[in-house]
Amino acid sequence: MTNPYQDDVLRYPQARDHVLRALARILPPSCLIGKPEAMRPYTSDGLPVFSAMPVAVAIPENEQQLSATLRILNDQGVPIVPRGGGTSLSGGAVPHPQGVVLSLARFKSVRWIDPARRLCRAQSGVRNAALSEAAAPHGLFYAPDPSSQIACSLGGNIAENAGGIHCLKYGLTWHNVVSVRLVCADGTVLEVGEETGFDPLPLVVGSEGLLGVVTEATVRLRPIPPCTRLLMAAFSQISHAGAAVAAIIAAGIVPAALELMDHLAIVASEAFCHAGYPQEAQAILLCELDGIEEQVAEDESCVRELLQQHQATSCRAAQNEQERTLFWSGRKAAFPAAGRMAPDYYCMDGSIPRRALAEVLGTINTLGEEYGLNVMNVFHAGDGNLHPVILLDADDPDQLERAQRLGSAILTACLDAGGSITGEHGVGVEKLDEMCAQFSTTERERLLATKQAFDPKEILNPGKGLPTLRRCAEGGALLVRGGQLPHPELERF
Amino acid sequence: MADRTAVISEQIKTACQHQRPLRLRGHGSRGIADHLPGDWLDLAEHSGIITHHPQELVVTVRCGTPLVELEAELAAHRQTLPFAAPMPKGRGTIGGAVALGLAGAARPYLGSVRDALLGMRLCDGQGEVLHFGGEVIKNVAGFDVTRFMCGALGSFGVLLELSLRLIPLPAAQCTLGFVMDIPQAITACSAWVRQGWPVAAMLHDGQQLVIRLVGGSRAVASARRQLGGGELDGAIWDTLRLEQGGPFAAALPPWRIHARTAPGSLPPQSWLLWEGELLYVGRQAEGGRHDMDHLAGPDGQVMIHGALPPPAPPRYQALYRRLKQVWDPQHILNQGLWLDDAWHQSRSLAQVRHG
Ligand SMILES: Cc1cc2nc3c(=O)[nH]c(=O)nc-3n(C[C@H](O)[C@H](O)[C@H](O)COP(=O)(O)OP(=O)(O)OC[C@H]3O[C@@H](n4cnc5c(N)ncnc54)[C@H](O)[C@@H]3O)c2cc1C
Repeated sequence: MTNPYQDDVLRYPQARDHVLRALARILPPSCLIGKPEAMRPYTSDGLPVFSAMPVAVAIPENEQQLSATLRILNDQGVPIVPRGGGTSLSGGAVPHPQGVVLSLARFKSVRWIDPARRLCRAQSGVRNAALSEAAAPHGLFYAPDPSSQIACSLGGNIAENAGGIHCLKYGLTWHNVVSVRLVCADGTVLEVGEETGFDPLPLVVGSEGLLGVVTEATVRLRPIPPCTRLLMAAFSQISHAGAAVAAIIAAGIVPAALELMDHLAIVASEAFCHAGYPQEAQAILLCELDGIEEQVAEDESCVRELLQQHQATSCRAAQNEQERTLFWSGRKAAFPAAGRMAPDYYCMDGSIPRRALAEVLGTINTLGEEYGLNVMNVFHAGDGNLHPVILLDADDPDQLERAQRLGSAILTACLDAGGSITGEHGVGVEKLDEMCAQFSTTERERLLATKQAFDPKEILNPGKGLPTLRRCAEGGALLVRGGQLPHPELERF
Repeated sequence: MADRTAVISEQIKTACQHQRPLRLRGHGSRGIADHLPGDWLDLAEHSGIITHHPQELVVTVRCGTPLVELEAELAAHRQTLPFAAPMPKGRGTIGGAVALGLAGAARPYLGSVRDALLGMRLCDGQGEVLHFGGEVIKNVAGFDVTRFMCGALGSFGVLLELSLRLIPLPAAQCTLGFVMDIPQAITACSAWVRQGWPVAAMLHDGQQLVIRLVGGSRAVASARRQLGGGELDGAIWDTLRLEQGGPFAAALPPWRIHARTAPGSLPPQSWLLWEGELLYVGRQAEGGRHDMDHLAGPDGQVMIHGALPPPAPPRYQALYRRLKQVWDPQHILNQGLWLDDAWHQSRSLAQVRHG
């Protein structure tokens, strides 16, 4: 159990009993957990290397209780960690040891669906998959579909600006959120979201719980396409697959999804769920096309031609809905499958321009050999969003240390290719040091001040998302680019 | 075609020293900043495409680049901006379009201006040049400052360089007209979209529903056959973008109304877009605000298109001020914009007090 917090964010000295008593005054007993045994399920999220025991877990039933909870904790200066499904892969929902976990588990209602306008209003604790289930009778669906969709919540998706397989065509969470109801640090409630003019919504989406707690949101629904076709192409070299992705994008085709799996991922998920992937292939591409029949047919012939030009060794279309689901099941189960290849795995989330795919995949391969660890690749290729999965045994401190250094080296490679340290999993507690490299001191100052504009006492998810200036000044621990600290000209304190 | 970053930053720093506000101007095609105090900060010369990776469908461009020029360059590669921002009489810069954040008729189908924004270099109210986002499609490092700047009309920073996602020009397109009233038109359009037909724009001009279909040639032909209607030449979309006909041809600049629920009918010389969420209403004379509020319905927004926008809604005022404190603490850039009367009054009282 690694404590993810540095000293400078452990500065909230409220007495535990005092906090519990204050919360007990506004929350019924069924909404408050204070016993460590009962809080164990809340001590970590989807990145289990980090964990901490909170002071309490509050599970309000309604917005009034939630707002009162925030008001009291804000008055007392107690950290609050909002929690949806607890599936964050960057430690975003890891508790603060001096703070309270605020669970949205009881915000579960889909308020309304307006089929004509293709809108849905739902509470933030609604599971992602439940949105599409509710929309299905109207011939509609909620497009952002993270692989964790049966467990993650709408609020967590908004907080992380989550993506998914179908975001290539239909956009990320951002592109599908119209407005949100935000409870601010002091308990006040603000409906946020304008078509034009001053609008704080872009700051809120992707803010990792640092600016407020989302209790409800209006989201866009999309029509379920009349025709869907999934192609699976195999390659004898991963660079060919990378080049094929770039070619499909360059041809102006926007597949609904375009995913790449490398050899290790193919073998792992095939053993796990027998999706019928070609075992000998060094890479496969899963390319889904949707729309009306004629459009899909036109796109399919164009994609098939491009795949051939880029030396695909085979190309198969799923013959029916059952086979399509089967092809996808291997992709969606890639992470659990990784869990069977090694005791632990560590999933990275770098984002790069698509033209750099082949090159960066080569670099990752070389880095893996250098650090003596296996890296499996399964990712949103059409978006240029890499998910190198480092396989390791985390109980071995040497492997864990190597894995973290390898992860950092991979993210450096992404930055060097003109990319970003995180495409969809967020910074959380995990990528704070890398933030020092992606942003200048002044840029980080503005981001920190923006947080304070929403949360002056810094009680919302402190120690996440944004590194303190001190942390970066001390060298940002891990990330040294080209043997040089970022901004060597700056004074360190 | 020059990089004027250093000049712009210097100008802002000097303005800070002298506490003199600056008002931002691209082509001045709308004259919004005409109503604001201070010296002009001209941005039109900070222009030119910095990078365009056609294979990546991403462009990075300086803010002063004329929309017409940018789109011509993109069209040479059979690409375009997805949001079809208005360009009154063919004028307007990309920086102005992003600062305003108003999309054209394709908005419900191809996304907003903000949706297409990937990254930005900006100069804040202290003259600091900062970079947020990037040229990649997915990026969640740090708050999404880039999209936050869009629509705020430069009140938090000068948008120096913009990285935008592009779409391919469609292989085929066609424009169809259907004589029907507004409720019928909205119902029909919504139904076609839900059936998956490749609708990429809609407009009702009071007489007929006009839609634009885009896609592969077989797909468009099939949709055209199925949906019926009469084929039109598509000139209406240019007229709308150039703001020349219909409500824009009236004596005064039109009302622009963002409605949460579509009205059942429209005054003469009006256009309805976005399946009823955006209305342009022709203005022959001053007055008439009350009727417009009624058209907009509860939670709707009414403004005169191209005029100084009204203050941000009361619920945002306190937050706006705190964010302004972060990005432009001395209120140098487009001073007074989005702020309510209380702010303006306190400001003028302070000025009287300090001579
Ligand atoms: C197997 C697996 C596969 C995954 N696949 C994907 C994928 O394909 N794409 C992708 O983008 N992500 C993926 N993820 C990551 C994760 O599922 C997403 O980040 C998801 O959006 C988190 O939602 P959650 O409800 O679990 O949030 P949590 O983990 O509970 O919280 C995440 C962050 O959001 C904050 N938060 C939660 N709810 C609220 C709220 N109501 N208001 C304010 N802040 C809030 C928390 O404080 C925390 O910082 C995957 C995770 C796993 C375990």
